[in-house]
Amino acid sequence: MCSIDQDVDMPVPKSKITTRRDLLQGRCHKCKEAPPVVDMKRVQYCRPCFIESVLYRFKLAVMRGSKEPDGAKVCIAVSGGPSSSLLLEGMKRFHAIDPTNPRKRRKFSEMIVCYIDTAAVLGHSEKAVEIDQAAKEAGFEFFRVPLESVFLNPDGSDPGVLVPQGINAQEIIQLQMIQQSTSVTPAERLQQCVHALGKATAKEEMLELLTWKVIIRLAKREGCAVVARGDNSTRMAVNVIAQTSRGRGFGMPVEMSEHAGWYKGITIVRPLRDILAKEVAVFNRFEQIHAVLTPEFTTGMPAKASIDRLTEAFVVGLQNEFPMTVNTVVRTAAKVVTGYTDEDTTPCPLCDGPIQKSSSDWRARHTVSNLAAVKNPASTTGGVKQKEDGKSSPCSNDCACSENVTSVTVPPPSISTSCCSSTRASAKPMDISPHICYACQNLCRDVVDTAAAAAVTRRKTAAPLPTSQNPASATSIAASIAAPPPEQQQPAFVLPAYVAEAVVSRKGRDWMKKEIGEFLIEDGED
Amino acid sequence: MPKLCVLCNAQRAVLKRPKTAQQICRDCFYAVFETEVHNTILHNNLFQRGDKVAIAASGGKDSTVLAHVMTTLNDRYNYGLDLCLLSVDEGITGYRDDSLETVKRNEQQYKIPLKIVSYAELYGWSMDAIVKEIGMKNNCTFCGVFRRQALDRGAALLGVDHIVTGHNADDIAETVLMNILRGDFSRLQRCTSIRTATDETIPRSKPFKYTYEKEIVMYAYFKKLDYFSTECIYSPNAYRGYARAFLKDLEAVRPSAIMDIIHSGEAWESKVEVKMGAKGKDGKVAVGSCERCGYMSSQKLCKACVLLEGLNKGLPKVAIGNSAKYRDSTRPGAKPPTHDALPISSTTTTTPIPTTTTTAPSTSTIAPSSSTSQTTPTPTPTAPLTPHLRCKKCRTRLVPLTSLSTHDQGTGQSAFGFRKRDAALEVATRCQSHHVAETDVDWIAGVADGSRTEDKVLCPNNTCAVKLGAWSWAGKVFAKMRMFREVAKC
Ligand SMILES: [Zn+2]
Ligand SMILES: [Zn+2]
Ligand SMILES: [Zn+2]
Ligand SMILES: [Zn+2]
Ligand SMILES: [Zn+2]
Ligand SMILES: [Zn+2]
Repeated sequence: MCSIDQDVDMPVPKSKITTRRDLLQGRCHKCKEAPPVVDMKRVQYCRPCFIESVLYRFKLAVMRGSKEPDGAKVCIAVSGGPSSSLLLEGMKRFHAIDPTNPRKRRKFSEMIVCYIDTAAVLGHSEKAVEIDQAAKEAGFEFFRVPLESVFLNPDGSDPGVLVPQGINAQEIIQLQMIQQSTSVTPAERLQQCVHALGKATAKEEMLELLTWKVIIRLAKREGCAVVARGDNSTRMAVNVIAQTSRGRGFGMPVEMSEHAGWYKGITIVRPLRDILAKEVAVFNRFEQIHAVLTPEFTTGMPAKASIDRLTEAFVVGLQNEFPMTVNTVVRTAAKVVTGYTDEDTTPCPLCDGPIQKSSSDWRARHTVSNLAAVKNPASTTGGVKQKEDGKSSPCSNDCACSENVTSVTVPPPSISTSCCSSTRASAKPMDISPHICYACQNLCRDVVDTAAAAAVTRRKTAAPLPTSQNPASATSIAASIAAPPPEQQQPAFVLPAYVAEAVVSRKGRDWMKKEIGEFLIEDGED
Repeated sequence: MPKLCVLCNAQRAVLKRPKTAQQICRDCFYAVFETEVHNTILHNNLFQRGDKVAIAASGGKDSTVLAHVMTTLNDRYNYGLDLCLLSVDEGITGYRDDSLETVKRNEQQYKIPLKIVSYAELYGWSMDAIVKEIGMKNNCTFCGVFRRQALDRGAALLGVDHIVTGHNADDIAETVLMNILRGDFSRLQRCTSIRTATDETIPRSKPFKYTYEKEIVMYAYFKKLDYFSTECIYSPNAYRGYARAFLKDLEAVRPSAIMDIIHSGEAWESKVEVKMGAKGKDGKVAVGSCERCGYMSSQKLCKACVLLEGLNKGLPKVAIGNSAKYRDSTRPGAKPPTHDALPISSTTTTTPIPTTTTTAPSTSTIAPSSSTSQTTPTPTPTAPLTPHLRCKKCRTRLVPLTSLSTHDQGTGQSAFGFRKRDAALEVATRCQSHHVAETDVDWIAGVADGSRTEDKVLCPNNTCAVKLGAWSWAGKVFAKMRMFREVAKC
């Protein structure tokens, strides 16, 4: 049925060209002298004009993006791909002393290059050497940080790891985790963390957010006030659509805006934000800039393997047909405003992005998964109330043992021999899902789904699940599926310990706020 | 060992829930499906007890299931709503004939009254006639805009307080994507709102906002609901088609993607929302009414009237600017005006009505529910102000559109020129000057006294006097006035 109630405005197809002023046939549209060699978005450039145009947009994006006073230290995050090679080259030129005016002060004091090595999950450890070389040629200090360092404290000490503690397949998202020390190496933890996720989309997203975490950590450690990222405009457009599709709309300004100001003390600049992927390739060819091709998670996978791959195919396809697509998408997304700037918006312990308030309620309301609550609303509200009343200490909140009395808590998979001798403060299991952002909850869901699927396959061969002790709650007991036993094939999911620490400190704050709540004066009150 | 439903763990799982990929039983499916709609209605306070609510019924799956669920929930939770069905007949051969039969059966099944309004009745044009006139391109614009208004006008006749439509989660998510892709930021900020808040006289909402299309089909299938399934034969497979296909792929990769997109979209909703039906704040939101038909419009003319104008312009021997009403009266052979259904403001207002009177146009035009007795001859409104070409800067009226002579090319597509869409290409390749009779432009220096044959055109408003373009004299008509941008538009 035709249910369109809005106008369909279609972008102009590329075949018909709107007339531009003073175009000369067979000449560069800019200098109007040399014959053109590049055709970008219907503008034809000669080689020097094209290079100048790219560098101009690069410089403009750097200047617009970093408004803080001169003399900041910059951390250039590179992955080795064509865009990061251009980023490195562009920053080198930007930082070079102006030969015509040697006394002119440089915008930035110092630049360092950082490469997050994902070899532990993706292989190809030899790539780091090549990138090292490229950075040295640029004359910048080079840091190669292995991604698995995210499982250690910033000072290098070992905080242990978070392992799941009983997964409940009935609730769509609920992830009981417990912090424990382990003998497993950080690299193995990283592999477990990524490979235990069932879907490529989740793996990809997990890698992405861990990588970003490491970059921010390094920038802070090295005292960099600016982090330069190599996202080109095509990549940014793909990001817009992919992040939207993952439910990260609330954090969109953090990703897209030039002045999001979300990360305290660190400005993110994207010098390539006005340069198309195609332009990057042409520029690199003209200037003989070589890229180190590093594998990506979905390299070689079909387009429908993950949200990211799918979106990329979609955006690139549209861009081929409607050349303004990328520009339009990036421009529109940059205008988006959300409530992330509110003072009480907290960062997500997992991805560091802003958490949209009450999105858990939203999910529960619109994706009903608890029919007991539906059929007997009175009992649930009573239960919730009781729970709130009964709580007075910050730590017992959300503990699996106190909250989810009916669910079966099974010993966690033994990824270490010392699983019961946890040493950390948050030794009690806690449900981290209410404390992370909406999109990261989707990640958790993947964990739950995967564990549930694994459990189902296992159930066919193994003994039946433990039976209930309490007939009233039979349904929820049987529905909760035990964490996989140690001998199973699927690696157990783990998370870096900082997630738990952030949750604990958050809960501590929430608890304090609740305690002193009546003494705080709200804005609206007079 | 049969698989048990993960929700009740008692019955056999018979389906994989599209939204969550959970394997559940039939009863649990009904329960979650209905509960989610119920939650949506409750949480958004969509209705008041005693409201008369029209269900926009097309006979398709969405509206059929909506009618079923609305009646079910109304009984179960005792909403106290007075429900009715409202159908629009676009006049598409073979499309509505069957689906209207379905709607009529729904009327019997759910025991709620039905009202059918036709495009021919409301606008003087059926969709078939429109397609005949302008071809397949852009006709969905017509059927969208016309349908929107048709529902309102039908609802006004029935005296309803609220219209519910069958838009589902897939539609909303697709619209979010579309608005990003085409860079429509203002629509992006409001496309996820559950109540539509613009250009309308009667609040309209989407109880299926969070309901997946696949689940609607599933619900209809299991409940053996009677619906008619045909794609609109005029729906073009254009840009929107890409977004739709992409959304389906996304859903396959991650079932929650549709919900996730809506969640993203809601985070961008503009905080300063135009509340419909509510008392405006200090008349801040100026909502006026269409000069020609009285339908609520923020512009001088409502969208339907602009589209009609384009259509009617393309008709030979018909004066420009006729709405259905005038067309009928200028053609004695045409069928007698049956469009007493058309709410027409008795007074044609040129100034926007402040928001405090937002509902005024509807209340003044809706005949108190005894719609059948509204056979009184349509009041002839005071001659409506014809739209003018205006100064692009100060908006001084320059030339009435009616005095532009339509020359050679058909102007059917010109109606679409007001936004960037592919039709704009034809505008670019077409004669862009306005052909005007001398007497209508005697304010241009050098025209009245015949002192020149070509010169520049300046705005006659002395305080403005901006250069508007150039003119040249070519025989009887006056040509070459580019830059007159502001054609009255909706
Ligand atoms: Zn040139
Ligand atoms: Zn997060
Ligand atoms: Zn069930
Ligand atoms: Zn249509
Ligand atoms: Zn109108
Ligand atoms: Zn003027």
